[in-house]
Amino acid sequence: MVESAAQTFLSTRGSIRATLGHLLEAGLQDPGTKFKRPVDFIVGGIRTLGADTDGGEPLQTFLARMGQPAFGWPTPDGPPADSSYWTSNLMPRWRFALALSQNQIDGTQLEVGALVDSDSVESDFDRLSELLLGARLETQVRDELIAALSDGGATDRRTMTELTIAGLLASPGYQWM
Amino acid sequence: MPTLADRSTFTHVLKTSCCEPAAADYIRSTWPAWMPRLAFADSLRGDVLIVIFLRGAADALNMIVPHGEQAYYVNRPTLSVPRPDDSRAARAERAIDLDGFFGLHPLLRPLKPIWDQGHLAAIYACGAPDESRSHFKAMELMERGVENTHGPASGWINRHLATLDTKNGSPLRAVGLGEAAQRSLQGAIPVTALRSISEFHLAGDRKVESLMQAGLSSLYATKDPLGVLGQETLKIFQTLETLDLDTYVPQSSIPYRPSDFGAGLRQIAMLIKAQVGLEVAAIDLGGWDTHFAQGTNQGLMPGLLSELAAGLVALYEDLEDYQSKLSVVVMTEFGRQLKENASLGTDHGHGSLMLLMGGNVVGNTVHGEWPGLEREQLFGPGDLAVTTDYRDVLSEICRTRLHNAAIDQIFPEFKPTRFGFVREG
Repeated sequence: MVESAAQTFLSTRGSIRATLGHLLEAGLQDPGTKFKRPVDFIVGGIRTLGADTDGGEPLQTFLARMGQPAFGWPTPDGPPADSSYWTSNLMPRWRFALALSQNQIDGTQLEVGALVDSDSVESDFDRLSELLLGARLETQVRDELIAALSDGGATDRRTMTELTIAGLLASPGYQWM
Repeated sequence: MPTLADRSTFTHVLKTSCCEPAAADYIRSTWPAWMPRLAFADSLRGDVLIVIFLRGAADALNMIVPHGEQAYYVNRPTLSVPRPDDSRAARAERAIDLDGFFGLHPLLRPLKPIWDQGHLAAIYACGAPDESRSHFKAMELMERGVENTHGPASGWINRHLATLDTKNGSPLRAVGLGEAAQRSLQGAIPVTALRSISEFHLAGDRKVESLMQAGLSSLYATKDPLGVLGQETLKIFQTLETLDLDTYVPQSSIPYRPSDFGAGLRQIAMLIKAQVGLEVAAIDLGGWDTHFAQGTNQGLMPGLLSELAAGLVALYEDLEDYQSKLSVVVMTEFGRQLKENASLGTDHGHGSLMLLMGGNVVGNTVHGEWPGLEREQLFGPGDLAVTTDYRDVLSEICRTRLHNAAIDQIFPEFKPTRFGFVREG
C-alpha cells in the first residue's frame, strides 16, 4: 500500500489528488470491519431505535463500564480503534441491550410501541431486523423465531418485542460497523 | 463478523434455544464441562501472576528513598523524605531504613513485615530502553514487551499464555481488572476484562434474564474470535454466579479498601481461592503523574503510597496460604527526575523501580546496580539511569516461576543478562 502510493506520487510528479485518490480506492478494496466502540454502540443503538435520552449519569455509567467514559480518556492518543481492545468486555453491552429494551435506564426512554405499529408480529419483527441489522430475515426463520419466543415465555407482544430488540443489539452481528 | 451469515446465526439460535422450554434451565443447571476444580498447584502451571501497573510514572525515589545519597537531599529541598536518623523530623515522617542506604517511604511502613520476612524485594534503577518520556509510548512498548514499535502487536502476558500450554481451558485463565483488558494482556489468547464480579450478570427480571442468556448462548455459538469470546463470557457468568463477593471474608487483618484498586485485589484473591483456573491477573493503580504538588507525607503521592501499601498487605495476608505459588509484580512506565520542579512536583524521568512480592522472591533486598545520583551519574536531563532492564526481571519470573522458557517469544530481540530476583521451587 505504502509502496504503491509512493509510486503514484512519483509517477504523477507529486499530485496530491492522484495520491489521495489511490489511497482511498486501494484502501476501500478491503476496508475490513471494526468492532463498535462503546460510544458508537450506545449512541448508534439509541438513534437507530429513536429513543430519547438526557445523556445523564445512568447512560454515562454504561459508557464508562464499557470502557469509554465521556471526555475521560487518560492519554492524548484517544480510545483505540483496534477491535481487540474492546472485545474482551461484552457483558456491559449485553446489560445495556437488555436495559434499553426494558426501559430500565433512567433518563432514557424507548417507545417500543412506536417501533412496532403494524398489524402483525411478523411485520414488527421484520422492521426491527431491518433497523438494527440492515436485513430482513427469511420468512420461515422469522416465524420460527417468533414461535420460539412465545414458547420460551414471551407470551405478550411487548415482551416479545423487547426481547427481540435486546437480542439484536447484543448479537455478534450488531457489534461490528 | 457482521455478515448476514452471522445474523442468521441469531435466528438459528433463538430457534434452537427458545423452542426448547427447558433450555435456559439446562444452561443454568449444568456445571460447565471445562470447569473441573482446577488445582492451584497444577504441575503444568507455575505461580499465579499478579501484575500491578502504577500508571503515570511513579516517583521511585520517594518510594524507596536513597537516604544515603547526599544528592537526593540537595536536589529535593522540599520533597525529600528525611533520613531515618534525622532528629529534626518527626519519627513518623522519616524513611524506614532497609539496609543503611535505602529506606521505605514511611507510608509504606505496612510493607516492612513482608520485607523482613523475605517475601518482598525491590529492583532499583530498573526500566526500559525507551527514552521518549511519553507515558503512552512508554506504556505501549513496556506492555507489549518490545524494543520498538515494530515488534509484535500483542502484549507480553498474552504471548506468555500463548507459548505455555497449561491444559487450562478456563475462561478465567487471564483477567484484566477494569473496563478493558490491559495492553499487556491483549493478543490471540482470549482474556477477560472484569470490573466487578457483582456486576457480571444481565441485571433483569429472572425469567427475562434466562431467556436472554439462552439466546446469547446460541447467538455466540460460532467459532470466530467474537463467538469464542461470547461463549467465554457466558461461561464466566455461570462461574461467577456461584461466587458471592458480599459474603467473601478475606483473611486479612487489614481490610481491602473499598476503592477500585482494593476491590480489584479482593476479587483477584477471591478468584484464586475459588480455584477457577486463574493464571494471570493485571490491575492498575493510576494517578502517579505528580508534576504538581506531589507531597511528601501528605497529598497526592502519599495517598497513592498508602493505597498501594494497604492493597499489597491485604492481598499478602489474605493469600498467606498461597504464597508459595504466587508472584506479584509492581511496575511503572518510567521514573521521575531527581530534581524537584518549581511546582513542588517532579517531571518525567527515566530509571525507576519494580517491586516483587511472593513466597519465592529473593526478598529483603534492593536488587540492581545503583548508578548514583551525582550529576555525572545521571541520565539525560537529570534522571536516574537504567541498569536493569524490566524484561530481565519479567523473563526470570516467566522462566522460573511460570515455567515458560519461551523468553525469545515473550520478549523478542531481548536476551536477559541479570538474574537472581526469584527462586525456583
